[in-house]
Amino acid sequence: MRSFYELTTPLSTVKKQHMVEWFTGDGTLSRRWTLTNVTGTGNAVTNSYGVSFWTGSGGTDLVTLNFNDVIQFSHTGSVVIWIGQVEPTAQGGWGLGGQKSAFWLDHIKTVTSTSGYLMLYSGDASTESGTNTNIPYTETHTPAWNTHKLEQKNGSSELTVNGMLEATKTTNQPTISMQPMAYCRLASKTNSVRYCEAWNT
Amino acid sequence: MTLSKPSIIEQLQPLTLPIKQHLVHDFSGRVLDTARWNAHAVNSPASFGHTNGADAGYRITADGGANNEGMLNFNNIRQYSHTGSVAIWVERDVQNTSYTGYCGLANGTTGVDSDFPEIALLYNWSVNTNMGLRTGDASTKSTTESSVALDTNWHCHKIELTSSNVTHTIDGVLETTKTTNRPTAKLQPVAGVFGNGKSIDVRYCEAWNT
Repeated sequence: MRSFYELTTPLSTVKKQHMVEWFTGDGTLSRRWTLTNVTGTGNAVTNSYGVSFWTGSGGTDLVTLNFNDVIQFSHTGSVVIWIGQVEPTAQGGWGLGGQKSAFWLDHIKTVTSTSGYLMLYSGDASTESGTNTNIPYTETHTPAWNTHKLEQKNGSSELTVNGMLEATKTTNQPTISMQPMAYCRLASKTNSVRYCEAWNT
Repeated sequence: MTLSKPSIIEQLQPLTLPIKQHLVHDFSGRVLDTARWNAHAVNSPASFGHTNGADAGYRITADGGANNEGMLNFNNIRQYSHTGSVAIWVERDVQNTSYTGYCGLANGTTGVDSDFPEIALLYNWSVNTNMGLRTGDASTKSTTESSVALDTNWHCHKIELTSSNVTHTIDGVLETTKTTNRPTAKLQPVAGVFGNGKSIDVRYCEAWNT
């Protein structure tokens, strides 16, 4: 029998941090995750989607799913894969972030913005900015599950959606290690996820 | 990597073979999965927690004081065969003086301070020059050193138990084949450190029956 280790790494190479989460369980988040109510009071549950988390009723409410600021993934060499969907008219997305309460600093993430297209955002310690893909963001909405792969290299960020490279960005690059993060904002909106994998390259 | 099979288990073995106990743990996230792991202060105080930083993993510390020891284990739920199993640990010693760091498979939770029997462990004892493989049957333990000097770098340790020997592979190189004092009872994954204010880090554990 082969080892799971050797599916991705030869034994002659010391495996770097590598996590896999299937979001399957008995109704509560697994202990590695935490939900942070940045604004308002949201909640999360394991359900038929995987895990769904949602905002409270306030118009500017914002919640993030994260590792409680245990940041183990490199800002110069890491990858995260999220399978997720957000409900229509919600703003939400997936990526890696350095601070659970400030997903606009030291991060890479997807954004469903007023531009009408799914965007790749990245942020350094003070400023974030984004670049459009050619994917209308309505295609990221329920019931469309999409696979988002975000790779942070030394000096550039890449977004691959459903296997196709959609955006590359070199400005406002993160400056600290990061954790897997997903977010949802606006009143009573839901983001659902069913798979997350992250590793250092 | 191109997947040739739709399931993970089929990447590892054909479905025509029985699927045996198999554990993969990545030590990433907010807190330890205590439904699986027992963070055990063998001799108090000891502390445990994920560490911030890229590839930092999970730290086990025997806190200040004589003869302290901290250990991760399965609370002696022993599902791995002493005659056919493998454990892979990615581990590093935070220091290389005045300590004992260990990881592998063991029966019991009393730790290296009491020199617990029925073990197959990476055994980094600072009295030795090199990393070692320590095995024990019900009454007697012994250690065989590898050619790899103690250091503070991350290493991949693979320990395999068969019906005739125990092998220790470090970073893909077979270092030790040991036939004496092999365990005689089922085993659980363990990792720990003994010392005064000493630590080890772990970031990956895989164990399975062969």
